[in-house]
Amino acid sequence: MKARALIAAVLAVMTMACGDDESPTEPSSTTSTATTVTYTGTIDAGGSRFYSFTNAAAGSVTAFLASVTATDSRLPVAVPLEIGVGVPAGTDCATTTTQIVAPGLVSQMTVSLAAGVFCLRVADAGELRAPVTFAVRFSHP
Amino acid sequence: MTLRVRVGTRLAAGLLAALSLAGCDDASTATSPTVTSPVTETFSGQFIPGGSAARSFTAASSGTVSLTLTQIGPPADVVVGFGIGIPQANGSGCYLTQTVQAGAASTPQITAAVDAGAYCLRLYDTGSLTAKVAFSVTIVRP
Repeated sequence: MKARALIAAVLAVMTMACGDDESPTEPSSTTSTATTVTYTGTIDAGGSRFYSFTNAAAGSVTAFLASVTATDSRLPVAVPLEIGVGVPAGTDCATTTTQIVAPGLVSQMTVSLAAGVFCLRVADAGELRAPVTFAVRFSHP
Repeated sequence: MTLRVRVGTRLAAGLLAALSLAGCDDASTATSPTVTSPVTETFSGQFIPGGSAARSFTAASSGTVSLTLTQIGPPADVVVGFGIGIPQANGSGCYLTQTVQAGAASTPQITAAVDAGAYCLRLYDTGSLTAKVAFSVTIVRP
């Protein structure tokens, strides 16, 4: 009888599970994920290009002009360009924030925006004498 | 019969004691963080006259990237174009941000502040190559 009781106790201990106090639950809040875009194109003297994007939520848009190269050689040219953020307006982008920048690999512009449709515009800052290819990396909510 | 009951009782008692003493082990025991930055990697290969070579790499955080063309040739004194930029979406090369003319050296020819993200380097013939060259580049990144 005593043996049976002990065996029952052993079985009870063996069936005890090692548990984690923190049971998995649904996240209580959502974390917005940034979307990173590399926008490339070619602009001529006096020209501009823009790219429309949608902010899924309010947050910061960051951008940097990563590259300005000659269209033929694909080698960098020392010409700054204007980058800006705004809202699409007909066939253009009505910028609310602009900056003239030389190419670099860290954020050159940070703009806080609401959720909605916006645009990134790249334009000649007045120094282009020939077409160039640009690459802008930006991220938005 | 009595002997079997005693043996069984002792066996059961032993098992119970052993299982009771066994603790629940937490697999996520805290350990010291492993320092992984900066990371050093090497890019080696060859390219022909008029050609180029490119390699993408990722900066895990913002910081400084340094690129050193440690070997190029033959001949040992050859100079080529050397640049850093961001990768093209189709993986065919780099949108170059800055370039230098570089020969082999032991100190970085390119140093650039970067945000976290994907970057690339490109080596290219600037017109001086007459035969295929081999190269080695050391990449130090966050």
